[in-house]
Amino acid sequence: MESEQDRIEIPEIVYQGDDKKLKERIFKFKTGSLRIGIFTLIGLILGFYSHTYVSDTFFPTKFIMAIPYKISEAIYVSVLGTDAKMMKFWHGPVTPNAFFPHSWLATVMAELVTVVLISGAIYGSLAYFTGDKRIFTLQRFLKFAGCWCAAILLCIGLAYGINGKAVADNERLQGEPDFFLYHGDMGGVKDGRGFYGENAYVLRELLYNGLSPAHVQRNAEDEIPMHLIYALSRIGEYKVNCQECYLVTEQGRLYHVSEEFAAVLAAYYESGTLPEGIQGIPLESSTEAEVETE
Amino acid sequence: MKFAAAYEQSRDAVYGYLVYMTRDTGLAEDLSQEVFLRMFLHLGKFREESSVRTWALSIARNVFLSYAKRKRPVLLQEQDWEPEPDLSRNLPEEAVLKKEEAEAVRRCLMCLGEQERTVLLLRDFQELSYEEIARIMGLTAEVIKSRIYRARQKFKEIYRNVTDAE
Repeated sequence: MESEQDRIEIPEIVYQGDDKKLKERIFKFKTGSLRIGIFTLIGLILGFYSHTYVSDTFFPTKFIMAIPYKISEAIYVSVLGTDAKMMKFWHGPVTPNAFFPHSWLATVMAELVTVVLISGAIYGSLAYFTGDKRIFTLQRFLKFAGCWCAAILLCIGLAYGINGKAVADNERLQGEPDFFLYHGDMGGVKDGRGFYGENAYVLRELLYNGLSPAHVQRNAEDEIPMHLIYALSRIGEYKVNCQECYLVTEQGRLYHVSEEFAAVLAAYYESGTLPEGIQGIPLESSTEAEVETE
Repeated sequence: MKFAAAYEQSRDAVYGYLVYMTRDTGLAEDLSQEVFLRMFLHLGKFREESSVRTWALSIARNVFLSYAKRKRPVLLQEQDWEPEPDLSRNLPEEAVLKKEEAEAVRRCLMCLGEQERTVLLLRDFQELSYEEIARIMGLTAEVIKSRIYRARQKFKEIYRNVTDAE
């Protein structure tokens, strides 16, 4: 059993200095964190405008503004790769050079949200490394960087996930699309025009009536291009063979289409105009609606 | 628990422990800053399973070990007895004697290894229980008891040799 005489008399030590001295690192941590927060916010804002580097003529600002965008581009296009190469016909509603031409939302995630996050991470890290090294240590920075990496990876994952779903839905022609049709001749496509909302009503009816999976031999020479735009955010590229009445998706899935639809498409390709009664809601439907209300 | 209250409860304990472990008030102050920063950052995780002082001393020990391993490994080892420094002659005799004694205790403590020094300081200086010391050092209370006994024996022998020599 321990007794009092076993204990060693160790003289007491009381801190005689200013408490501010012992709390100095806490104060510096608070001011340093504020500085990092401000720099990060500036980085987020600059990231939002990063894409404007294209039109900037002053090289130093052009270079600084371009960095986050180019990093994002390198990640998506060079390192991971996108399905942009699947899109063969970059006309009409398809955004030129879009990372994810099939999904407007995935493109926004890649070309805006990811860029904003990368820019925030860069400027936040700059502020971190110029802070007090005793407080903002490498170990703490790794946690800081880890959070940013997680956010950026999540954003990248979401972009690919959204695009993947868009492509899958396009393959199944899921939704109520608007149409972008093309006209041309033997030499190829000359021009195109979009048919949206009410103007696409009859086209939609003709497309989905008689749409069914098909197993046919493709004749690519006679296929004409068509874009379908779903909810103004998802775009699918299709080819239609009007003689053999089939539609083929980007990934090669084949569907039968009705002869009426094929005929309308062929007519537009030749003349650049839709047959009468195809645009807008049919007169019969409008008359029936008026009779019901009476 | 608010940080201000935690600071008040642990300030002298942390500073005193680090002074005895480093024998350098400037270094002890510097390491104390790091201890209080860590307490400030992790106060939300403190579950009050032990006292604030125990928690603070646990952090102080980790900070000291981290510093010593990286910068001054000699602080972890037993050191040779050092000659007595010159003391101010303006102080009254009693104060001089007390100061000499305190300095002798510090130097004798430095002749012990880090673990022996720590258990003595936590038991005889901070007056923590065996269980609290065991929690800080990651050992069982039984092991702590035997280490305290051996550390005291060793300290007394060193102190006896030093005082006999003088």
